[in-house]
Amino acid sequence: MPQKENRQFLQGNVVAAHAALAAGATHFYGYPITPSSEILETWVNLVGDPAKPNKSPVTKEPLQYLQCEDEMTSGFAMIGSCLAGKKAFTTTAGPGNILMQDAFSAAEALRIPTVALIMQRGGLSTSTVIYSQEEVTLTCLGGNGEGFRVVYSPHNIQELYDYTIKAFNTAWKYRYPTFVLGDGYQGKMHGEVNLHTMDPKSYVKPKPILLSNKGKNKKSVNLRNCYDQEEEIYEIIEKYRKDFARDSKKIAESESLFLDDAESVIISHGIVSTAAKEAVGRLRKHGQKIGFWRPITLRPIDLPGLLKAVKGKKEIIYIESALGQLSRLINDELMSSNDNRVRNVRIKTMFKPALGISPRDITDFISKNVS
Amino acid sequence: MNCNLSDNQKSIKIMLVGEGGQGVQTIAKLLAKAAFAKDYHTSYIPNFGTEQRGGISIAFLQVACEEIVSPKFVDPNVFIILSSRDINRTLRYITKNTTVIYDKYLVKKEIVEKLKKQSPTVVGVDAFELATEKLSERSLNILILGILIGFVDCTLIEKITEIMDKKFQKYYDKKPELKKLNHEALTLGLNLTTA
Repeated sequence: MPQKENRQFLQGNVVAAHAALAAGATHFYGYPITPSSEILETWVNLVGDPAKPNKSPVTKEPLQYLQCEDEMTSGFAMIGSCLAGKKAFTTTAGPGNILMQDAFSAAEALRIPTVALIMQRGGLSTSTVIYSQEEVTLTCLGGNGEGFRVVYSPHNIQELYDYTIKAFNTAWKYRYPTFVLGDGYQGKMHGEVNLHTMDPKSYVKPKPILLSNKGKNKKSVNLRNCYDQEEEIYEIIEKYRKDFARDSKKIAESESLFLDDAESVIISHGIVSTAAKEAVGRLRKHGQKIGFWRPITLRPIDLPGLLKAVKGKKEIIYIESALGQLSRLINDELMSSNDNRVRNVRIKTMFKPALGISPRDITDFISKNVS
Repeated sequence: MNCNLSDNQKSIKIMLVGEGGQGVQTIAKLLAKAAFAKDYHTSYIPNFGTEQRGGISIAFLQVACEEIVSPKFVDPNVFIILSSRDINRTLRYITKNTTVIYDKYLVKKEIVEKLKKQSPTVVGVDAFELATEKLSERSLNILILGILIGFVDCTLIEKITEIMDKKFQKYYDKKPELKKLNHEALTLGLNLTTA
């Protein structure tokens, strides 16, 4: 909880832009789309006069932005900037997220650190500009890649700030395209936040990726994105798989509540988790032995945390504003376990695609469906 | 923190339902900012479609003495409705404990009947008529804001006036009479609740 004296009441998108500034980002490329547009607008205001731009509080470099002609250009312009050694980011939503997958796949293939702030809007396709949790699969596993990406799912405005800062440091430390997966409610709502400064120790300095400092002379680095033989790319993917498995142990995060005596465990993520937390609190006051677990990183999933939450429980209840996009990720992890105390846990689902979920929606569902 | 919510409540959940252009989001934001400035915990979610004007526009507002965990709710204490549009989408939010306030001119009779089936506390107000007769049609949303203050904390009126005047200063510069109209609309609305 932020210190009272530092609290501010701000829109989520404004908070996300301030987080990028606090993280040491200097360059922004994007194309506006509701419900993420205010991130672009706020960044433009933070830059000030482009002829005499304001400077990053972290690096003292001038801040810059470019509103591109579409999302594909935005994604690749961001990549170009990151290759040149700048901390660049972008933001998008819905159909824009689909278009940017081309660039995100390239970043995944070449291990280029990038940060994208996604504010999920309603699916399918253009749909609503309001809200959903229907870009989980796309953000975690989009493009023609294998999901060597980091995806944070913050659950409130404070976490949107904190994990946006963290996303920049994770991306540049481990060199994966990194995402902060918010949603239309988080982006457009006003809430309380403490805009603290970043711990300087966590800052990872970017450097030009296409230049090597090895030896006396700087040499250019060729990042290869086209292979002749299937064995060649297989070896690369195998290396990435091992790297990702190794790094996942340090990156993956989750949060749990009341697991010790819980017979049933609610699993949710993002803003739905706030409703789930409140609902679990209410249900426990009425003696229900119910617990709570949420992945903070959707890629990679915190497997040890998940297994601890699920092992030996009677049932898990997935709650999502989508038709099972989170549950597919989690079920996949659970099925990889050999432990029957994990594999035999009963599954219940409350899926409300593109619809907001309140604490009462959850308590009503649990009362009717969980003994 | 000096918690002074009406009827000694610990928290109040308000849902404002109108259509684009009526100023529903503006007044929700003004109230939220004023409540936050007075040390209440506050959250506000706007909810609207792609239309600039005419589409349904909803605001979910919470003011509380304790930390707000979940910003979305389906059981408002107060439901204010200023339009007959798309009512079936929002009826489900009204519970038996919800106080429903509707505008007598803007909300059709058949809609009022539907509202009454959801809650025993349904109250009509002449907000639109009062605004157009005594002030101006554009004062409607500020008059509604005045009504809302009565449901939250009457002492918020000074802070709201301060934030509102700052927000609308550029309009006041062009039309100085707007400031007086807004102040009168706020008081008129508050008097409707406290009467």
